[in-house]
Amino acid sequence: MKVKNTRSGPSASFVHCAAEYDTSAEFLAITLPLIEQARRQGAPVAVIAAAPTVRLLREITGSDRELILLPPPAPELRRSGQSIATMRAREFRELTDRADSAIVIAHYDPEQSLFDPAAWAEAEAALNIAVTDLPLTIACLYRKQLKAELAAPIQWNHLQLLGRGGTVRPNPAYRPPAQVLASYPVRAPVAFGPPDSELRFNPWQLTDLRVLLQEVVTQSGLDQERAEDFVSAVNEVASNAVEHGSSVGLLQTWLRPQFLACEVHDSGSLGQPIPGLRPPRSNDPRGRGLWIARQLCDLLHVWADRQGTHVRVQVARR
Amino acid sequence: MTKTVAEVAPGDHALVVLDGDEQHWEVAANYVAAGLTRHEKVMYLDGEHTKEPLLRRLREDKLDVDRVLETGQLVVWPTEAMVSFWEAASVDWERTITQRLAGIADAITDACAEGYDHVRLTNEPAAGLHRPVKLLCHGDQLAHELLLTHPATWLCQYERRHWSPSELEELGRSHSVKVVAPSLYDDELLRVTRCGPFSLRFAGEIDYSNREPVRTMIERELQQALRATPQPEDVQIHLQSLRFADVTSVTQLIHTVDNFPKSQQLVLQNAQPRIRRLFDRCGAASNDQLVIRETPN
Repeated sequence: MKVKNTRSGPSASFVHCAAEYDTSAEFLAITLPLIEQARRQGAPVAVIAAAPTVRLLREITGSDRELILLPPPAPELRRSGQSIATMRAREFRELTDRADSAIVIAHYDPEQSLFDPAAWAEAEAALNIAVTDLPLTIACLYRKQLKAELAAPIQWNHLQLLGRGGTVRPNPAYRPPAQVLASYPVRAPVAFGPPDSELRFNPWQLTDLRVLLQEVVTQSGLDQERAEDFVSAVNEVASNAVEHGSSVGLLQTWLRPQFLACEVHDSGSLGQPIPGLRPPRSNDPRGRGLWIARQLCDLLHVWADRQGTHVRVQVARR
Repeated sequence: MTKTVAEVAPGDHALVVLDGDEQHWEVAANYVAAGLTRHEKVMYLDGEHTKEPLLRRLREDKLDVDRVLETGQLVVWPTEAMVSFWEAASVDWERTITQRLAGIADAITDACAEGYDHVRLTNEPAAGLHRPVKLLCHGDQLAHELLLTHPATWLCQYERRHWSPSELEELGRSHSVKVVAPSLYDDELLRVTRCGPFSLRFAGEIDYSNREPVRTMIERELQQALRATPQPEDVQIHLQSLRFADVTSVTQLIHTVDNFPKSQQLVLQNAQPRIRRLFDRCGAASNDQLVIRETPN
């Protein structure tokens, strides 16, 4: 897997805005000016939306190739907002690598979608950590009169509000990600049941952990590169557990027909609500382990509770 | 007499006492490779299921292992055969050891008939654990006599953890040559040896537990390079046997170069694909003074 490994610094042109609409006409009145603006700037336009919305936009713009369709997250990601944000951040970096700027139109219907609402709030907050260095406009469109419990994360997670004609103004209700995540703490994923194997380890036993992981990836049938990447990702998580946690960690593994998963548990606390989302700067000597680990697997979900810090790392068996 | 593996000469009956796996594979591979290079037939008596790590290490050194196995220049006697030997020896030592050495003498004669001038043998008497050392010394005496009449060299590999100091001392007296394999650093996870001036070889794994000594070693190597006259253009690290490194260790290695004066480079040779990928991911390409190089076969 190719990993773009650094960020340059906060981008002055990062926009993450929300807009409410009632009708298709209103939806188009908000989105078409953005597409026009992108045309003028030669910027790519990506769309995250269900098929009817994509069809509508393609009919209006009259071009199949102009809009880049970003697929929905795999089902196993839908409860992990931070893993969705990692996936989107990777896509957005590819978009902005090709151009000076890019526009993403995201049409969400949290009431209709398969997304877990809390995970969706987590994903939006995580994006505000992960991609603020990019020259990117993310326009999120919501139907008016959503359920009350969805209103707060929408109001809090968007830096700006988007109006008709593409006008953008600051959002007075915006809250930084740490505040949002204090109100919507990252939740534990759905438990898998008893693990297939367990290993308690200290800093000098990371090699034993890698031996166990190698056995598991061999059983899983992952190809060599994905297997090596998975071992590297879990090793990074385990190193963090013994370096920043309690110096003793617990590894658990599950091999299932569709996926391979590991969890690493330690009794330490988290210094930040969702670590490893932001790419390191090129001159940072430390702090890139967890970020790279996130790039090497399909899902990396970090959560904390009274017992300590927990990380699930998962990869599909394909 | 004390020698390095490279100094082992035809007719030597040598013993090496090994302190860890990486040292074991390094010594075995260097001994085997030296024989193959000299067009000797090499017989590896695998007493500890070490065939795979031996062949892996030979491949890391870019030796055409498949070819030498196919042509029969390298022959590996399986561990099961060694275990059977010791089982039979425990019942009737005299007869079993005599038969075994006669078999080896025949194999040497056959090798000469195949066109080899010389045969290189090595064994790991781990399967002989819990056998009286006196029997092993007797076997060594017979092997010594065989080497007087046959064109062969023999290296016996003993792992220190299996034997007491007095047993090793007694075994040492049964061999004419003691082989030494020094390292700059060996924590049994990572072994660092010197390939030449300002040129190191890493074998094993770097992780949270040993990344600090690694950093210190590279910095010390740089300091020595800067004080040397004439000053070398680069410090080299050979990575073909480095099988794992974590992100922080690789990042640290990349940033070690930040302390290098502009005239100096750190050259990383022959990194395995997973290590190369990690260097790419950690931003090695952005550092002009770090060169990642592949040497041809």
